[in-house]
Amino acid sequence: MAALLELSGVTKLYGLVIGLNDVQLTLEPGVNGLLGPNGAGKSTLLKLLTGQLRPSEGRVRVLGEDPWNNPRLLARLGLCPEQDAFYDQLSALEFVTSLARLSGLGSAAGERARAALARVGASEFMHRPIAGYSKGMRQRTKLAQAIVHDPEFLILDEPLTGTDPVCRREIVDLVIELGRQGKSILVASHVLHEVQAMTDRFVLMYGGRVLASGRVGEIRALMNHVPHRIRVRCADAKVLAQALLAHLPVDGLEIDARRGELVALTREPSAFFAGFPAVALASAVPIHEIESADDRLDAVFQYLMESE
Amino acid sequence: MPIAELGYRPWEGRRTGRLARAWAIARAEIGIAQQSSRLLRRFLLFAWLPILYFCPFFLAFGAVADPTRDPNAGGLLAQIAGSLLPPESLAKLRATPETTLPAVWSLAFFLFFTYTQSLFSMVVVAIVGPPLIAKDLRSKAFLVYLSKPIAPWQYLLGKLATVAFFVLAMTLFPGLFLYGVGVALSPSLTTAANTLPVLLQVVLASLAIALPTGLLVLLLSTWTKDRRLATFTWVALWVFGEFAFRVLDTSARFAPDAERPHWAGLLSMRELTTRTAAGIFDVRGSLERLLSSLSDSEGVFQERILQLAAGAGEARLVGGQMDQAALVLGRDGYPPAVFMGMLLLLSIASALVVLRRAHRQVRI
Amino acid sequence: MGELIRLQIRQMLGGRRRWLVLLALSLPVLLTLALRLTGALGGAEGQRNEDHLVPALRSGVLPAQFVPFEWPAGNPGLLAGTVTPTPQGLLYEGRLVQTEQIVVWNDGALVLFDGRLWRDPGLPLPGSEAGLRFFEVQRGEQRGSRRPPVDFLFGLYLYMLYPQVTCLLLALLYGSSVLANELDGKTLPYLWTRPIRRASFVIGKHLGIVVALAVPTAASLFASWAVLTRFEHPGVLATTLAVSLAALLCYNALFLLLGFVSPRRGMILGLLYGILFELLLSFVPAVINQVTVSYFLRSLYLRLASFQLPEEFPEELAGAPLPLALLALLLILIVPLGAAVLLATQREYAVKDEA
Repeated sequence: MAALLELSGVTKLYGLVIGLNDVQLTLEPGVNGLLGPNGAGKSTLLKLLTGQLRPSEGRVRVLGEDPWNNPRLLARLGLCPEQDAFYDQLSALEFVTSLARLSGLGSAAGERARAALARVGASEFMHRPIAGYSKGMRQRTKLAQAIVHDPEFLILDEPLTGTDPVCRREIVDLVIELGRQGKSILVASHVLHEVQAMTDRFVLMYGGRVLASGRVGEIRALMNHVPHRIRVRCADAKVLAQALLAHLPVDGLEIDARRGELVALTREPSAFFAGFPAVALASAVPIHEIESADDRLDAVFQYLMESE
Repeated sequence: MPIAELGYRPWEGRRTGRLARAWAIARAEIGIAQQSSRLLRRFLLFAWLPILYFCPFFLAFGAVADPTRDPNAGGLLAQIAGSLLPPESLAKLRATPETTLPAVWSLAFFLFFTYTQSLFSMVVVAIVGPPLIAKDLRSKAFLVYLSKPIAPWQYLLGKLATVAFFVLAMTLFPGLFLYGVGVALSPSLTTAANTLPVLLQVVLASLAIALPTGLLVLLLSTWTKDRRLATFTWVALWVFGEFAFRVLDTSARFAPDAERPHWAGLLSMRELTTRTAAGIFDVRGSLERLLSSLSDSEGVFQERILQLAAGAGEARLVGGQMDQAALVLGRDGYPPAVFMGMLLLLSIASALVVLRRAHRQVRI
Repeated sequence: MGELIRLQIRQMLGGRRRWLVLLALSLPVLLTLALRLTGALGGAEGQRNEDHLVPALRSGVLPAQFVPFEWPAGNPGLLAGTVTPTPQGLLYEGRLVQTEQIVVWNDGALVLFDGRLWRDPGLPLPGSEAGLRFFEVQRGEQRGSRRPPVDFLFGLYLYMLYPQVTCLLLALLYGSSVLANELDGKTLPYLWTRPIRRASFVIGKHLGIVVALAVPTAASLFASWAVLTRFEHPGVLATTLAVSLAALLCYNALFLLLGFVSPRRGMILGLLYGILFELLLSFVPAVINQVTVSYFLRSLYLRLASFQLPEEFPEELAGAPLPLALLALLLILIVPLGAAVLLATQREYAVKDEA
């Protein structure tokens, strides 16, 4: 299967400002998350992928082709842009129909627009002018125009900003479903836990560079030199701590006796987990909660950023 | 030792007066305008060029009016003066400088203001004015301003002061400079003292150009979020107004029975400002003081004086087709007061609309 | 591309934006109405008494009804006492204003002939000085009245009003801001990531603007023409319609290019060019006026209308022959559009991020 996208040695300069810095990235088809704080270069990357910008150096290939000035390729792409911008005087139906026609759907445009709007849950209000819509309705309209022409590769730039939890849930479900149908999706966001709900494959960006790409677990496993953090909430932190130190491969400990919390740092998480139940039982300290504070994306990100 | 409270602390000192707030807005906007537009900066410098052209005249008039100078002495200054005014006017200037010098200055300033500076002002207003309120509307900063203890009139005053500042930079500041040059080169201090009314005229004329145009452009800026549309409307107002005036004015030449529509002058912004300036500088009175009658002058002087008077609305056409019409002195159409009144009306209307809009926004 | 055109039309004429176009196109009609109401047009139309009178005077014959003219005492309206006919010509306030020996005022109500002023008592003299206008007659030369033919006057007015001013301003407003609006409104990504060629985008926008403006302009022009000519001279209407369309096409192409060259400054550049070149310099009868669109539009107009030009009309202002004018206008349409397409395919136009 051809790679979904391929960036080789891509640098993008805005005058003297570096937007992307020597990015090397290949993604396989499927649902991918693009994560990073503001200013990391996510938008620049997406603009390069959709042919709005050209790289200052390097090569961009999407579905095997160069997206710059390539209408044929753009027919297979769908973009849900970040900006909250529309032709306000049109209604959602008119807007999506118009864009559908521009995508080459011809006489079927109206029907497909209706279907797309129904899919995103916008059928109720699609006849009203966009000017009066709430944020959630606008997001749905944006999504509808992105999927109306049934693209192979869907690019969503911050699709969840400003939406209420219900709407957010619906969008996430839609993305998952589209992914199951075999579409490739790239979701850019800086809100980690939301993207985690959609996929477990990520690209992490910071300061114009790609820090890492792959599954969370894989990424984490690569960073052996950084100890895992395991948080335990118990009745007597000091006693448990002594027990852990004595019997398990612990590299460091942080204790908050007053709150009954301790955080153990270890480079061998599997061995730690294997031996923990026995040690805890032997110490006779009631355990309230245990959490690997680590198998979470933000922690990974934190480590990666700190090591920059 | 108590730990210092570093949280929110209300201001307990004295608050500045109301005008100071308007000035704060103005200062900020002036800075933004200057930084954001290279064109503006270059234009501000460019607008001082006409001074180079007008300075020699003040030099020349000063020299001629000097009673200690030999009237028959030649020299460049005498030549310059001699090329501008007919000999009888020069004689008057020498004989009674206290009354004639201010008249000459008034005319010079009138030309300075209407031929170059008012055109420059139009351009400057087109550059500075339209974004002022439109960008606040677009970015909703309007509401931020009004959520502070700023009244809408202070907001308007601040924005107006911005436009007025740039227009005054084109009109008042060069005008004052020229005035200074003139005073420095007058034959005596008493003569200089007699020209004080001219100073007042310069100030008034500058304000008369700055304030109405400023308010009008702010009105346009309030009407739309798109500053480009406001710029366009401003320029189109001038262009179309002038076109309409010219058409109505010229067409009357083809109709022997038709009254020349004097109200046509009210359609053209350029005509409004020119006639107002003519009234402020009292072109008619100055001409009367300089020349006892038009037939005193001959040939090229007559032509020049008539052209000047025509620009001020103090001459009219008698007989002849387009290229051969004869100009004669005499009031043509409405007196300057009507034009001034129109400008005043436009200013007040603009200010009221902008304020009303600001009040409406606050209530939402 | 049809969809692009449709979209552009909706953007310009949909909803509240409609009022701008409507307002802009009602102004010329109002001006024409004003023109008619001031009676200024009366003099341009119709048969005039002097058309018979002038030849008679030229052959040395003064019709019998004329009596020597006496300045009416106490009438403040006329040039009382200050107009003196002399063998050298007409003196006004002692100044020679007219050297011709045969002059006709007010369609023959007052005549200068044989060194004296004569009055036709059957015709009214206007009560005000402003009413005194006259047309020269060269003694002894076979020249008609120099009053320009009325269809020329109407055509001149409608040409200046529509193609030269209104179409130019409208094309400036919409053409130069077409890209800037998409950028400011941040809607460009929707269009730029669609499978349309950039060339289609440029041409579609161009045609969309022209179509959206053409219909209201035609309606406005029709209304002005009706008020102006009272439904006579349909040739003038047809010619002005054609040239207005040409003006819209060419000016819009030019300003569109400026909008692509610099979305931020396109309108200011367009304003400077439009006013300086097209409206001012293009009326200077020298070589410079031939490098303007206006020159070719004027030439096209005159060739299509086949007016009888008055003698003093400067040929340099509109001298291009019809094929040249058409070719030039075609180039002015195609070259800027081509350049705009080039820019659209080579330059990056990206909306600024919110972050």
